[in-house]
Amino acid sequence: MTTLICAGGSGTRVLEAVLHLCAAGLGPSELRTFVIDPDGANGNVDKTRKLVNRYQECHEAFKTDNADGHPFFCTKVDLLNSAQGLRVWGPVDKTQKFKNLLNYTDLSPAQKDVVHLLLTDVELDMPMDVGFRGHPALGAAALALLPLYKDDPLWSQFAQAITSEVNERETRVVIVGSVFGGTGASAIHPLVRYLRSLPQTNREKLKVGAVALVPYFRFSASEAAAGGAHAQAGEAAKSEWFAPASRSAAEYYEHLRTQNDWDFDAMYWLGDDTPVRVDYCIGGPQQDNPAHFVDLLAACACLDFSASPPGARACYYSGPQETIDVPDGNILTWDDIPMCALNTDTVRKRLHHFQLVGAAHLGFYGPLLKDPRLLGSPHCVPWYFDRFADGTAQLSNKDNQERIDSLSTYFRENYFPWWDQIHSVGQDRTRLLNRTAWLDGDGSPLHIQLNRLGNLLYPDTVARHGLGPVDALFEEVVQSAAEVAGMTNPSRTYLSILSQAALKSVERENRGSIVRGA
Amino acid sequence: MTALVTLVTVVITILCYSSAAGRRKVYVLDDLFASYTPMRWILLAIPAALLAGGLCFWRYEGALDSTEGRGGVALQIILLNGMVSAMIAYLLIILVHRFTPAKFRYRPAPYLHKRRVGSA
Repeated sequence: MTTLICAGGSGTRVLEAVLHLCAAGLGPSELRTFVIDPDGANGNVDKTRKLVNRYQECHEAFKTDNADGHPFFCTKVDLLNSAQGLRVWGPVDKTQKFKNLLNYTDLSPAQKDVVHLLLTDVELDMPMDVGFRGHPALGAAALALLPLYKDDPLWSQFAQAITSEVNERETRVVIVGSVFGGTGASAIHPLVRYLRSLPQTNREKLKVGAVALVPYFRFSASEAAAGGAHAQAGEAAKSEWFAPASRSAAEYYEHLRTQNDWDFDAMYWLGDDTPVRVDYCIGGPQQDNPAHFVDLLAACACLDFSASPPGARACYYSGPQETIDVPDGNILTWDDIPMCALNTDTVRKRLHHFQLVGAAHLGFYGPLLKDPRLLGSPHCVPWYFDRFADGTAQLSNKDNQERIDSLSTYFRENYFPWWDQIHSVGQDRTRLLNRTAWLDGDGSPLHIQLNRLGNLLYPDTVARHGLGPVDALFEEVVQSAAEVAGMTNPSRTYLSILSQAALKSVERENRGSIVRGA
Repeated sequence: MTALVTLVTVVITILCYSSAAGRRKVYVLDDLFASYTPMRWILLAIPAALLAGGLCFWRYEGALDSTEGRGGVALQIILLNGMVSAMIAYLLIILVHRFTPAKFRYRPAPYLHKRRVGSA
C-alpha cells in the first residue's frame, strides 16, 4: 500500500490532483492518505474533503473486480477508519497562541532566551486559528514535537499500519508539501525522521519519498491590506519571502545530503519560475486557491514513486519548459511530466481515454440515460436494449440512477473544472488537453463541445472538429456492449462498455496521429 | 418479365436502403429517436409495380382478348409485383443483418421487440 501525507494547502491541492489521476486509473490499488494542516477549515481542505467523499462514492459504485472491466476509480482510498471522511490533523490548538504550544510561561529564563533567539515576539503571540501563516520556523517547532503525539488516534493507527505492513511487504510513503510556506516547509523533514523511527524490523522495506514544491504562485499581502482585506497582513505570509525560503530549504536539504543524514529514497523538486498570481487570503474558508499544473506534476511524481521507488536516493527536478512563443511564461507539454516508473505515453493515453469517457458521458450518454424517450423506445439504442432494458440489469432503477448521477456530478463539478483550472494558468501555457472541448462560446465552463470529441488533446485543430467521432464512438459502444462481460451492477457494466469503446476510439486516433506525423 | 422487374426492384431497394442506413449518423440524441427513414426505400416497390403493370399492359396488348382483360391482368400484376417486391425486400432487410448498421439493428422491425419495450 502507498501512503500519501499531504502537508499544508499546497499538499492538499496535490491530493486533489492525485485523486483525479486515481479516478483515471493511474493510481495504486490502495492509497492511504491524510492531511496535516493546522488550518483544517481552509477552503482547499474543504474542497478536497468533498472530493474524497465523491471519489469514495464513485469507487463504491464503479470499482470493477475482473479483467474485462474499466480501469477507472479502482484505487481504494484508506482514510484510517475515519467515519468523517478525510482526516485533517493539526499540531496546534486553534484557540492557542504559538507561545502556549511551547509552554512559554513555564520556561526558564535561559530557555526563553533560546526561544527569542529563534522566534520574534510577533511569532510568539501569533494566534493559531489559520495555521502558521507562512512561518516555517513556527511549523518546524510544532512538528518537531511529532513523537509526542504517538497516542493521538491518527498517529497511533498510522504507526500500527506501517509497522505491520513492513513485515509483510514493501511500504511506500510519499510526503508532499511546499517548501516556501508554513506547514509544508516545516513538515517534510520531521515527518521523514518520525517515519524512519517507526519500524523496528525490515526497515529497508519502508520507502519514503518527498515532493517539495517551490514557488509557483504569488500574491501581495500589502495590496490585500490596502484593500481592507485583512488587518493582520503584517504577520501574514508574503510572496517576497517565497524565494529566500525555498533557497533556505534547498540549502538545508543539501546539508542533510552532504552530512549523510539523508532519509529520503527520492525527493522531487517541482515548481514554475513564472508564478501565477492568486488572490491573497490569510487562511480559513476563503483560502481556495485554484489548481495549478505544478499540482499535476506533483501528483505524477507521487504516483511514479508509488509505482516503483527509484533506488538512487537522489533528487529529481521538473517544471515547465522555456519557449519563445510565450515570452512571459514557460509552457507545459506532455513531455515535461516527470516519469521514471510510469511511461509518458501510457499516462497521456490513459488521461485521453478518461477524458473521452467523461466528455462522452456528460455530453451524450448521461443525458441519453435520462431521456424519457429511452424508456419508451429502448430498441432505438441497441446497446441499452441488449444489456440494460429488462430483468435485473435495468439501468433505470433508482440505485443505478444514483450511481450514474454520482459519475455525472464527479465529471461536472470536480474533474472538468479541475482540468479547466490547470489550463487557465497564463496564456496558453498548459498544452496538455484541448480546453475548448469543455468551454462554451463565452469561454465559461462547463459545456461539453461534442464537435471536439475527436480533438480532446492539445492543440485545438479546426481540421479535427466535427461530429463524426460522436457517431464512431456510438458504433464502438454498440460493438463493445456485445463484448464486455457483465459486472456486479449495471452501472459498472455501463462504464465498462463506454470505457472499452472510448479506448478503441483513442487507439484509432493515436494510429491516425502517428500516420499524420509520419 | 414481372419476375425480372421484381428481382431488380428488390436489388435496387436493398442497395438504396443499405446505402441510406450506412449514411445515417448519430450526432445528437434526436438522431437516435428520429423516424427511421431508410425504410422508405421499400416504397420503391410502388413505381416498380406500376412499371411492371405498364409493361404487362403494353407487351400483352396483342395476346389478350379484350382491353378489359388486359387492364385486369395489368392491375393484378401491379398488386402482385408491388407486394412481392416490398415483402422480399423487407424480409431481406430484417433477416440479413449486414444490410443494417449495428447501431440501428432493431429499427427495421420494432414490433419484434415489443416484449422488452413493454417491460422496460
